[in-house]
Amino acid sequence: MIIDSGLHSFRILGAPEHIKKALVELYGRTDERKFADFQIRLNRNGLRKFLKPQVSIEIEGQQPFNPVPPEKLLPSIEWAMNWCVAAYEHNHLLIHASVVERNNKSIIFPAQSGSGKSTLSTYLALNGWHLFYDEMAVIDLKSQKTIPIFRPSSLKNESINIIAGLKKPINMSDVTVETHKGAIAHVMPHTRKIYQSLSPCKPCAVISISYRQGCNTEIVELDKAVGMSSMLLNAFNYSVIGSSAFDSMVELSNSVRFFEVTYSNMQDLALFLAELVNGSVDG
Amino acid sequence: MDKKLFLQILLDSQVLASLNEQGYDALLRILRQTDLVSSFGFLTKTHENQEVLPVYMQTHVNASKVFSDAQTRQVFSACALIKKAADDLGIELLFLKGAAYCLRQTQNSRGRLFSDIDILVKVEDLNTLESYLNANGWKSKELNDYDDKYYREWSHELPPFTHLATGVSLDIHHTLLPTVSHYRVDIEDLWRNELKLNSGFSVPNHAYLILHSAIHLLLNEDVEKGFRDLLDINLLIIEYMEDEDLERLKAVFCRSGFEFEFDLLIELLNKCFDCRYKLPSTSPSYMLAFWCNAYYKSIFPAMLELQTKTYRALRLLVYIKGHLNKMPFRLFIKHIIYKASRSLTKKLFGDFIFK
Amino acid sequence: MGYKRTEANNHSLKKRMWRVKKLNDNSAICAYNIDTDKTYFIDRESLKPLLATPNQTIDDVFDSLCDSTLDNPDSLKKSGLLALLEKQ
Repeated sequence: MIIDSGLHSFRILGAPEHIKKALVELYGRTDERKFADFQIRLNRNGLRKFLKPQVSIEIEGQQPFNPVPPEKLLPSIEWAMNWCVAAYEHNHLLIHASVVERNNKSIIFPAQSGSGKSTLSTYLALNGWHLFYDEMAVIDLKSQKTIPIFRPSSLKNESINIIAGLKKPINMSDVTVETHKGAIAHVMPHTRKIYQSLSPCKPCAVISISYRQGCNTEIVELDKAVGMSSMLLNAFNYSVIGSSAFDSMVELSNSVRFFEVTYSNMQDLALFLAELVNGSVDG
Repeated sequence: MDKKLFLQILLDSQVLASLNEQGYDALLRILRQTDLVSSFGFLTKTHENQEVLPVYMQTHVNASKVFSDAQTRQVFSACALIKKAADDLGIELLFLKGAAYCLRQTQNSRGRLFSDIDILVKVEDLNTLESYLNANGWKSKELNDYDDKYYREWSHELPPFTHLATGVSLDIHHTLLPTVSHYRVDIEDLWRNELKLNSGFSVPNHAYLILHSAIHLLLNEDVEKGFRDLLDINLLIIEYMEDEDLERLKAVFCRSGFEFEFDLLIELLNKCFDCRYKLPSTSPSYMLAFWCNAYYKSIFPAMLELQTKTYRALRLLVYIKGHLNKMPFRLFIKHIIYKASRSLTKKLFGDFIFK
Repeated sequence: MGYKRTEANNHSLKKRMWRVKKLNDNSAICAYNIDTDKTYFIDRESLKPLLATPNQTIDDVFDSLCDSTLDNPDSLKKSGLLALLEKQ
């Protein structure tokens, strides 16, 4: 089966029926095209078939991940797809981040552990924004535009309940429990038809977010040196691409505003973000 | 895709015109498995001429060049760091294999990927170098007692080192084959024929570069990347050797007792790349035919082969031969029992139990 | 496949090469070393050694470092910025 994420296609071989079903439910459709950008093969391990069965995940001849039991495969396949992009996609600059879009402007949330970026991005995508990608900012080197990718967000542990608690109609996978990151569920926040209406667009802001229970929303604007160096820490392939990544990163830094935000209320934060894309936040 | 078509594509880029989507898909899978995507771009000139391949394939070839260019920069940077260590200590140092190709800017270095830096030092300088590295930001790989013994006593290297700041991996050799093997490489002759580049780095001359690659291909138990070694050798010979030089190359092989390996290499090159080298062979023709066939079946990715019992048997034979080339039979048995017991434990209790 | 080499290998290791740009809020100069793939930031305070006269300010220094200065290795050296970068 082939998963079409827009920019890339992934061939998944050897998927058990319950996984095929889950992938079709998330992605809407799959196809059997002849050329795939990446290939992931799932193999049931030999002797262990009869004890505690495990499935190994082979990506283009490599096995970068531990084998997992079949019931934990869905998050592993999603991670495998992210791995393919990070390992091979060097025509675009990749920043470890979530990216959302509104009014043809995007906002990049560089990833930090515990920041709540996936929860926030999913919340925004269910409240008038579009999710471009929950794992990476995929940036065109010449235009610095962020590219939309048709992939679900990945919610962990408590954030699953938070998003489910919004009581909005959503396309959420079953929860996979006891992964090395805890409980995981995937949410595809829009249909493929909506995705196809999205266009690459320039970011207007890069925001490092940090969740702190019970606090007021605190917003600090950063100077560009601090903002750019912080983004570099989250860049997957900056030194692989080299000097054109540097040029692009400087152009991007010169055209966005950088903020550091501590928050506890997503609704409140969303108001600020809406003002940003409307251009109504003073410097 | 079958092997013949794959080889034809590398030899003649016009064959690409006959490929459809399915063909390009198979080609990309093979190139990724063999780490040859960027090398392919150089061999077929599709890095420069972007109209030959369909866009969906060209995009991956372009991305692979970005990666291989980055690795090349890294190699130069890492070699400068290592050379500084040698200069500080006043010891002699040659760069080997991938690093040597890169520093020398050989044709086969274009698009090549590198996993680590290999260097050759004199055996009497090993301890000095090890102490320096430990004190200057390098750390040797954590090994269990068995693997440490494998490296130090049976093999020919110190355990690999990693540079903590840059992640560069360094393999240190004092000869080209384990000291316990029955082969004796004429390492003094290699040192006598070192090549000093304008950049200040030193590498073996082209004959010893080829010999080392042939050792890696034909006397190694792991032939997963064997095709890349053969491709390296083919390109080195084309680049540096006139036909009469092959006699001199054979003399270098024979000096260290690799007469059979030279004859086998020529057979393999003729079979894979249609080289038509004609040199008198001193090895029994039935042995050459058998092992040529065994390596021909073993050095390509499994996806290019029909997974017959014959295929599996030949791969096993090459594996055993590779080990026996590097260690006496009694050590081989001990090594195999140890490896088998670890493998069985992993299979029963999980692949990553030892991590 | 392949070609014969006819010329000697004249490659020499490149000297460290830089790409240098200004951030447009004047918070820093950033520089990329092409050989090591490392990025450096020279903040405003660190530009003090470039002050040529007592009357000159950091803002003056920033203004003088336009793209043409930063793109040209000779101007980069003349401005004193190259020496700062080499110390990183």
